[in-house]
Amino acid sequence: MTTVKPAAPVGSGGPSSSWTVWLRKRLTGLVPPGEALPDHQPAYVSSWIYVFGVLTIASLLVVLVTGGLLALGGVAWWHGSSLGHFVNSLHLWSVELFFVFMVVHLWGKYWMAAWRGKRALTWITGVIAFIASIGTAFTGYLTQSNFDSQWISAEAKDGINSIGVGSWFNVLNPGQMLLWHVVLLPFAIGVVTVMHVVLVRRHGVVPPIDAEAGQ
Amino acid sequence: MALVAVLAGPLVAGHYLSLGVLSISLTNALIIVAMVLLFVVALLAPFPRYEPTVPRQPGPESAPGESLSDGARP
Repeated sequence: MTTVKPAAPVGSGGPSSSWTVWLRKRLTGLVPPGEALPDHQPAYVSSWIYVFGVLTIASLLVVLVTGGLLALGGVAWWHGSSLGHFVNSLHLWSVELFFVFMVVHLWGKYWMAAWRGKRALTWITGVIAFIASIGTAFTGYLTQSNFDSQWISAEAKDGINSIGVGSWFNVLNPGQMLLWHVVLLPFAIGVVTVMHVVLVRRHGVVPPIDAEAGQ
Repeated sequence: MALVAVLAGPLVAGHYLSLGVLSISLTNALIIVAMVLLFVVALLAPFPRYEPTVPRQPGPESAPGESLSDGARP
């Protein structure tokens, strides 16, 4: 008597053979259970210095929304339209707050040595986000389409040429600077910011240096 | 006409603070001072507290055996 082995369903060669399963495990394992969107924080987080990270993200969202509106109107929109000028001012001042909050966040994390406890990559992604933000702000100066942007680009070209990258990063090319400002650098900032936040949730908020167990 | 008036008017470069080779505009210096003050206030100002209505279950950050010296998670 022979036994008939039931036919294996298609794709049942083991969970590890599927790239979707691999990706699902990677995504679900990024942060410990319950830590992706927590409703509680350790007691030491009860300080205003811990607020500046999320303030930076809130400012970044306003920057991105107002920047998107300016992109819809075009680079000259804010010169001839009061609404465009208002949106441009919102963009400017949200950037100012973005940098103020980010620098205070940086100071706070530096003085509490926030790279402790396997958090080096969290610190590094924050540094990259800071540098990319500076580049985005500088290219923003060059896309104002006014005398100010002409003056700044004429001054900047010497510095850029002195490090030998003027052929690839031409600050006198408004079209190239516009695309760096509205596409490439914001995309980089967005990706690095998501990595930074995921790492914060993965490793938790760094405790103060003098924190004791149980706090 | 407005453009002519602007071009014909006095061009003010702003006020600068100079110390040897260092030079910074007064506006930027005041902004940096304001940021330092904001940093100090963030460290010293009392943070509002609230009593949770539901008792907290022990979480990963308070798990026994975990060192809080650096808060590293296993």
